[in-house]
Amino acid sequence: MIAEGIAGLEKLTKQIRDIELSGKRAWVGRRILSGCTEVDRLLPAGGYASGSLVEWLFDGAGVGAKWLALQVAKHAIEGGRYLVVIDPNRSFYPMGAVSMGIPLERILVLQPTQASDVLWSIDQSLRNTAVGAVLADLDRLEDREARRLQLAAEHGGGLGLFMRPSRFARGIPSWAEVQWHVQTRAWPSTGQRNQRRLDLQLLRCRGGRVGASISVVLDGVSGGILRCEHSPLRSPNETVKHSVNQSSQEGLHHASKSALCLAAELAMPAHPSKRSIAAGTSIRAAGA
Amino acid sequence: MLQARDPRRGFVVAAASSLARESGILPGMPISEANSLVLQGARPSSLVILEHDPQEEIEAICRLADGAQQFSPTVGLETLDAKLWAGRSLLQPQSLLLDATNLGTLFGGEVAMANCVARWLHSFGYLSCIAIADSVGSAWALANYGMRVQAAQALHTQNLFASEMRKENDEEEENEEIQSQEGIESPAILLHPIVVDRAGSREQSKGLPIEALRLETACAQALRRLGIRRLDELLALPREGLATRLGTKLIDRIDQLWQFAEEPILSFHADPEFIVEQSLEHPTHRRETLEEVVRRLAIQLCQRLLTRGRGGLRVLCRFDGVRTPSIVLQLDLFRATAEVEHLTVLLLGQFDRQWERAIEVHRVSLQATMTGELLWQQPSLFEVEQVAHRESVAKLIDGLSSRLGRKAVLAPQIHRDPQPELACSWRPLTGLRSDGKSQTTSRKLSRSSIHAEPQVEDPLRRPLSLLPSPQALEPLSISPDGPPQRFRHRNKTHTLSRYWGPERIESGWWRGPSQRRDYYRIETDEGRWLWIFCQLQDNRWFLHGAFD
Repeated sequence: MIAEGIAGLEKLTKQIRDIELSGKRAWVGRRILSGCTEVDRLLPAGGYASGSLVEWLFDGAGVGAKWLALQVAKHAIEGGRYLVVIDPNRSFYPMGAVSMGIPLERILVLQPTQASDVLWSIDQSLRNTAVGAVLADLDRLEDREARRLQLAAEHGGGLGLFMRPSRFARGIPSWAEVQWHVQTRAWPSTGQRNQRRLDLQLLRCRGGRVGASISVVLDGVSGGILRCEHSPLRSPNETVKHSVNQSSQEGLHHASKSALCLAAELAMPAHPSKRSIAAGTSIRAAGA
Repeated sequence: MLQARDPRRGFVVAAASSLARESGILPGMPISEANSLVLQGARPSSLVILEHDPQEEIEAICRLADGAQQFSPTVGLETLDAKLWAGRSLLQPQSLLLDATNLGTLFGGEVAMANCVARWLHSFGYLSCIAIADSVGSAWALANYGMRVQAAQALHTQNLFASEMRKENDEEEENEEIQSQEGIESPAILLHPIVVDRAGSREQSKGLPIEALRLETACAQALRRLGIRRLDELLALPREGLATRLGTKLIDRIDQLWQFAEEPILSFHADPEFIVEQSLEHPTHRRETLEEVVRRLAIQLCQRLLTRGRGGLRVLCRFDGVRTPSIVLQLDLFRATAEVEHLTVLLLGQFDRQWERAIEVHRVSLQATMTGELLWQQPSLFEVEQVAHRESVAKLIDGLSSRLGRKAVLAPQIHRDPQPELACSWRPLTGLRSDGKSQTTSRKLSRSSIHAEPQVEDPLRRPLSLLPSPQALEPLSISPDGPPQRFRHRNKTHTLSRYWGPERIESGWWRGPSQRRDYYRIETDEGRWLWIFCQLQDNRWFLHGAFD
């Protein structure tokens, strides 16, 4: 009886995913692991789809978003592919990446000096089939630009891994396949254990468990995952509501504008508006 | 002063201006020693230390070698040995060799020819030491060591002139710049070249130091220990004994200098046949026409390259205007290529960005000034995918370097250095090998660039983001041992929750003013992980990185 019930639930879950994934391109690419089994379980097909964009939203420096992105990059460059790091601020320190197991000879670092070259560099790198992952800090990203990057990733089959400050990206339509929000908490004062805790919330993932939260506890020296703790499932609406505060009023205003722009583009994709082209120069990479 | 990184000795002086030399700074000297000399001097603030870029230097000398073909059909860079020569601080070619056999008559004599070359080099702002002799070894010795006194005097005169000009500028500020440009010019520094026959060469070589023989440092040191400092002292010793004690290389060098033994000049310049050009019947400034011409020329060039099994590594595209100066587009490629589509896309990309003014073009030429062998290697069964990726990424690097510039497309290198900012450096992926020759893709990409690897078991000991320069923190609440409990950074107050450390890092004393730092990994009350340090000299706190 119980077995039948479980089978029924699984069937229903599969049906929901099929509905969510309908109209989307067939799963033809590789599955790229996140480096954490519990995190993979929240994603459809147990990992990231190659040829897609993944975003980590965070607030301020030292939160751990880049660490999570590099864990994914490590798996994305398997099979002799390359990791391209877009680093206009010249702050990327390869020592940590190498210690995580990313071969140094397969890291390419681009340091574009012009803001307009940042987006171009990401686009070109994503289009290349030898590039497994592109790691970049991005703040503002117009819809047209994001769509361009998504198409580039689809073309090349790599992953676009973007670190984005929450104030620029939260609650705003995105072309990313998966969007996480990363937060940290100070360890309780009792005990000086050398561990690090990262709280992840799945903000966006078609076919995945949107709203799910998970806490990843890392060893403070080796960086190895000690354990993962699931938090109660929150609805995406609640997530958005939670994010609304005074500082994000501007973000909401921007969201409404972006939605309009997105709709316009979907309606008439062949005729770019002047506004979008002008906005294309506003992209710049976020500082650490 | 230019500083270079020596793998064993840390930072050393790569080159020094004549002013720095006057205060005792010499190439090859550790930076710490140079620093102390400057501190003792009268004007310590006048010292400017810049990083030596070996790639820039090799490219500059290769450009000169290209240009020097106007004087001689055979131009080459000096051929280096595996180890550094005594008297040199860098393992890089620093002299140009020209085959001047029977060419003097074309210039009205060999002295006139040497003067002509000197004036040409002077037009680029170089002070040149030129010698013409009967062998490479002899000319090299006289040019490198026979003109030192003359060169030092000339530089001293120029320094005096420059300091006098500065004084005058300080006194009379009004319109002084215009006057100095129009009326007073710095004295032209053209040294008298040494042009000698065999007897003269032997006579002049006698008094030269033994370093003029291009000896390895160990050999020169051994000779100096024996009290032999000059060539005439060395030549007085029995030849057989020298060979057994100091190696046959020394004998070869003596023969090259004293017996005028033949030594080949490895010709540097590009194969002249890899140039295609098209003259236009009617000069035009129409972009579409010019693009089409470039496309056609690229097809012709690639066909020529392919028949020789070569690929272009540096391609110059030149547009000659009717009454305006020419425009030259330069393409540096990561791997040798003879693909029409690849070359055309890159050239047109440059064309878009550099085509600032419309000029009437009457001729377009395309030249592969540097070529490399096209490699078709059969990959092993398990490497097919990796090789395909390597080829593909090489194209990407070419495209990125073409638009972003060579210095923006980099591969990281890790060094065994305790100071975090020096433990990592960046290597441009396009460019030349240190002997001026091209480097093949497979060598560059398959070469492991790891000199020292961090310990794999502790990734969270080093941050993922390192600030280009440490930023000062303002401690608000000090702890007797350990980092401050509260501190301010960029108008934000952080409170310490936990910390790990200290990890003491000290830079080598040989590298100048030593850095002594206590690094801490800290967690703030918001859960952020930062990397801060205390500078032990003055107990100031700095933020250096974040565990992003």
